[in-house]
Amino acid sequence: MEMIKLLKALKNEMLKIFKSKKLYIVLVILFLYQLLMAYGTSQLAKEEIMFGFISGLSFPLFFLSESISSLILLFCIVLISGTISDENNEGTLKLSLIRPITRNEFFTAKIISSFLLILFMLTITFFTALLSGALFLGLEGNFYYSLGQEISKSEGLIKTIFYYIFSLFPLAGFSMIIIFFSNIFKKTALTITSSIGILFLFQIISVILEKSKIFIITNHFDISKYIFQDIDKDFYSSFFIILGYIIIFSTINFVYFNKKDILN
Amino acid sequence: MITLAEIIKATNLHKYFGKKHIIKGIDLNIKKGDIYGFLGPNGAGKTTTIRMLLGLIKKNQGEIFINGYNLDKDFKKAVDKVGAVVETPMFYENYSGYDNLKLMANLYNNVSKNRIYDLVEMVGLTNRINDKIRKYSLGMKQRLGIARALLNKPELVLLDEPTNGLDPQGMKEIRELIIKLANTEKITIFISSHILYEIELLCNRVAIIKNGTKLIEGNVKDLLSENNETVELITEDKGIENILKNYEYIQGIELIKNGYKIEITKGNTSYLLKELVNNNIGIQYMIPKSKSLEKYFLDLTNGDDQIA
Repeated sequence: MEMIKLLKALKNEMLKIFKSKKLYIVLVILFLYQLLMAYGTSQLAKEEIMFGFISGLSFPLFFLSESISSLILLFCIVLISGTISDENNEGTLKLSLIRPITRNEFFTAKIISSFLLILFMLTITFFTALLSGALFLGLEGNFYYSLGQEISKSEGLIKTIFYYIFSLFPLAGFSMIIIFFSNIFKKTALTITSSIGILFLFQIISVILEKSKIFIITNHFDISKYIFQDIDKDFYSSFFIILGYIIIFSTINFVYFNKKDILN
Repeated sequence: MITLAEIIKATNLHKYFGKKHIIKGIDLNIKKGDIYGFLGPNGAGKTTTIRMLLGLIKKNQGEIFINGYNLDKDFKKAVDKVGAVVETPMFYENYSGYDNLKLMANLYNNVSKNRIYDLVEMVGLTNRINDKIRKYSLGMKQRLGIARALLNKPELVLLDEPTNGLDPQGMKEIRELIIKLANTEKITIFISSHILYEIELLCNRVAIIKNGTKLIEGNVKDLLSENNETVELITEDKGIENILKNYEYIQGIELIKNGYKIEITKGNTSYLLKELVNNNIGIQYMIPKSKSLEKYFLDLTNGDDQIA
C-alpha cells in the first residue's frame, strides 16, 4: 500500500464528508438534544429528585454514557451508511476506481475517514455538551463521575476527554458492520434499515441466549468507563470482543470490495 | 506477445454474471494512434467489456494489457495514462464543476491548477466552471466528463457512448472535440457509440461484437471496400433481370421503386452500362452506391439494428 496515495484518497474522503449537509444536521440535532437534556437535568436537580451530583463539567460524561448506545450510535449509522452505497448508487464510485489507486488504498481511506468522522462528531459533541451543561447546570461544584465518586475538576475534565476519545473504539467496531451493509447494498436506506435491524437482533439474542451475550458488541459499549475505574478482567473481554469485530468485519469488507463489480 | 504499438491487448476475456455467460472470449488489439470504434447490438456486452478494461468489472478469465502493463498485476501503471468516460458522466452534484475536477486531480501526482483551467477552456466551460453541477445541461456534463478524462494527460481515452442523449449540435461539438484530441494531443481513442455514421466519420478501426462474441475487427476502409459494388439504375423499363441474369459479374438484382439495385463484381460498371445500352434499356440515371458501415453492420449482425 502506497502511503501517498492513501493520504490523497483520505483527503478526498474528508472533503466529501465535510461537504455533506447530513453531518451538520446531525450535529445541530445533537446540540438541541443536549440542551434539552441539560435543561431537564437542571430542573430535576432543583427539585432534588435526582441527578444532584451532575454539574456542568460532568454533564459531557453523563451525556455520552447515556447516549453512546442509542442516539450517538444511531447518528453513526446515519452518517456512515452512505459511505459506499451512496457513491455506488450515484455512479461516482467508479470515478476514483479508474484512477491510479488500488482498491485496498481507496477502501482503507473510506474506513479511516469513517473513524475520523466519528471522532469529529464526538469532539463537537464534547464541546456542545460542555456548553449545554454550563448554560443550565453551571460550572460550580465538584466533579462527580458517579454517585458519591468525586475527583478534582481538572482531572475530571481530562478523564472525560479520554472517555470521549476511547468511545471511538466500540463505535469503530460497530461502524465496520455498517460499512459491511454499505458495501453490499446499493441503497443507503437499506443499509440504515439493516444496521438498525442488527441492533434489534443483538438485543433479542442478548435476552434469549444469555450465554452469547458476551459476544455481542453492543454489550461492550460502556468500555470507556475504565477511564474512571480500575481495569479488571471484564475490560479485556470487552476489548478483545470489539477488536475481534473490527478484524473480522474489515477482512470481510476488504475481500468483498476487492471482488466487487462496479456496475453503476 | 505485446508489441509497443499495442496500447490495449485483451485476450480471451470471459465474464459471467451468475450463470449467465456475458462475455465469451473477446480479444481486442488497439494500436497507438487508433480511433477505435466498438460496436454491437443492445446487450452485446460493450459496456461490460469497457468496464473490464478499466478494472471496474472483474473478469472470470483472460488477460488485459494496457500500455504493456498487466491490469491485474500492475493496475496503477496500467491506468496511469488512461482517461475514461463510462456511460453518462456522473459527478458529485453538490460540487462545482471545478471542485469535481479538483477532486479527481487529487488522486494523481502532478495535475496543476493550470492544467485544470486549460482543460476547462478546451471544452468551453470557462464561464460555468464554478457553477454547481446540478445546473449543468447534459451536453455540459459530457464536456466536463471529457475534461475530467484528460486530467492526467492520457495516452488512451475510453469513451462509452459519449454523445448519448445530446442534441445534433452537442453531438457535433463532441465529435469535433474527439477529432481534435486524436490529432493534436495524439491520444488513442476507444469509443463505443450507438450512432454508426458517427463511428464511420470518426474511426479508422472498428470491432463489432454480438452476444458477447467479437464478430470482426479491422480497418474501416478494408471492411467497407469489398469485392462487390452496388449501383442503382433508374429506369422505366421492366424485365431487366432476364437480360442480365446470364452475366457472371452480376451478383444480384433487386427491384426498387424507380428501377433496380444491381450488385456487381468490382470494376464491371462499364460492361454493365454497355450491356444495358446494347439492349436498348432507357437509362435515366445510374448511381453508384457506396456501402456504409451501417449496412455492413446490419449484414453482419443479421439486421439486428438495436445498437447501443
